[in-house]
Amino acid sequence: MSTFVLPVGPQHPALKEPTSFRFLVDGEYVVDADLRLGYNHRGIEKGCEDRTYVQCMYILERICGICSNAHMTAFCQGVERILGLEVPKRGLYIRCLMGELERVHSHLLWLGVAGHEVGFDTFFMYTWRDREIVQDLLELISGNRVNYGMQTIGGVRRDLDELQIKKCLEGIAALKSRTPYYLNIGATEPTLVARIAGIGKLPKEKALELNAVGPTARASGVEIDVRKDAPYAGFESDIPFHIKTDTGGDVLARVVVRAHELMESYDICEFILKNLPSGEVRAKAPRKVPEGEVVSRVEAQRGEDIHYIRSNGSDKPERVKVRAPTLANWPATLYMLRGGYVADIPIVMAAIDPCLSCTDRMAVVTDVRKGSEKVMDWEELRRYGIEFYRRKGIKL
Amino acid sequence: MTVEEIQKTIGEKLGPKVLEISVKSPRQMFVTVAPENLIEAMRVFKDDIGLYHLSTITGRDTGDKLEALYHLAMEGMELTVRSQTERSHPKLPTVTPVYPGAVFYEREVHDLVGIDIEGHPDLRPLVLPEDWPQGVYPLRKDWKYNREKGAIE
Repeated sequence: MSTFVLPVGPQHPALKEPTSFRFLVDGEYVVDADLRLGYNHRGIEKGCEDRTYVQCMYILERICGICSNAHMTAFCQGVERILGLEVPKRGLYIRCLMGELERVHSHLLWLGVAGHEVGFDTFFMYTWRDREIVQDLLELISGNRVNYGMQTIGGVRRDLDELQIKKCLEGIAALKSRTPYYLNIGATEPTLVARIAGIGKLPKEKALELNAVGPTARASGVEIDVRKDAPYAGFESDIPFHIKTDTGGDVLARVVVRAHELMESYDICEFILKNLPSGEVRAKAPRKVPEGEVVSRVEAQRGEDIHYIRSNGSDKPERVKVRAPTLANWPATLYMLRGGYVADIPIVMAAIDPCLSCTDRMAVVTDVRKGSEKVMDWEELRRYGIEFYRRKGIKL
Repeated sequence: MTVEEIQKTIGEKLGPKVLEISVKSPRQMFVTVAPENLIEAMRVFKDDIGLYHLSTITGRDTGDKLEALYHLAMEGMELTVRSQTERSHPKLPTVTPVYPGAVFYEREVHDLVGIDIEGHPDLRPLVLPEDWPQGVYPLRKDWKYNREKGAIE
């Protein structure tokens, strides 16, 4: 039997970022998948070695536009641990608030993108409308809609005043009243469920074996969450937090887990805003960091974000290693794609919420029977997927 | 498992094969093992201690040696396994039989630090471009990036 290679990428109109996939297909089925990363490699780890800790903070924030705060938090808390610096409680609470608001904005964005990938653009319009609310809150707190620049070594850079707290609570209340509707649509709307249930299956054993992280692992029933496994910021002390899992292991379960996490994040934000301790928001940190090494982990929206920092006594780090959540989820994604339809590629890949700048890193489809190769871009693949299911009677 | 329980298990199962244990905090520790004992140690960490999650692998140039740091995790504990290899013949065994999720991390270490991963199924470049010169490893300390004088300067 001959095979057909279907290349997809490196430019994805849907993902906005370059990566290359090669799919070995037999008719409609994906036999094997391979990926090529590196189109976005910017050498940030090497760059950090020539920069001071303060400069590193801002360059690391720019690894990714969506989980910028998570990278900055991981780096700052790592350096604080080497220094043995105690961060004031109010600073930790605001750090935690920023993390949760960032998660809310990212999950709402993802729900919209998932809707768009299966051709359900109404869902996309709804969630992105609500995402504006949280974007406004982020701007209100930090002055920025992306790359907030809130974290610093020793705490956070801006305090919250009474009016900001009031506005935040109003925004969270509005989101809290709308999100159950999305959960309802995501979990029960028959056409959408027919499209995403049973797609991209990842059993629990495989998720554990391939070291999947974040909502992808949690949707397969793995209770992994850095906020619980290695509590940081306010989670260490008294901020209540419940881990959300699902046993489905398919795209539907990933939608449900993220919708539940949204509700959980609203509760965390409300708790923080109502119980904000008084006092300073940051401690003063020295410029030079004594020799030491540390592993710092943060639960970004897509999963575990880990930084390894080694200092050498100067004002520049000896080594900074960053592993963003998407790279951890690629082995599991390749597993999910195998055996599925070509038409399911867009939604399965979108379901891990890939961030290529983070991971740094297109698609090629090869037909097993014809032995030919075809390059498809993401938009073409998405339209093909929607048309494929429309012929099967699923019209969104 | 607490730090003490882990130290006891390491002592019983691995004994002198673990060269160094350093405890950074009640939730974080670093252990050093020689490359020849790496796989055995990784099995003990995964099966006997329960560190089911491999977060990532860091490759580092210490100056005279090259080392790989395997960041393992479970609830309440982060354990990093350090294994050093000679700079002249940098070689480490693959840990993919124990942690199949390590496949991309090992390729990354091979790309950027130049440690040969023995037994790895596929060592094609992962992050570096295909036309990158062979034997040049950007994350080694002796590699410096010199910006080419272009149209701007």
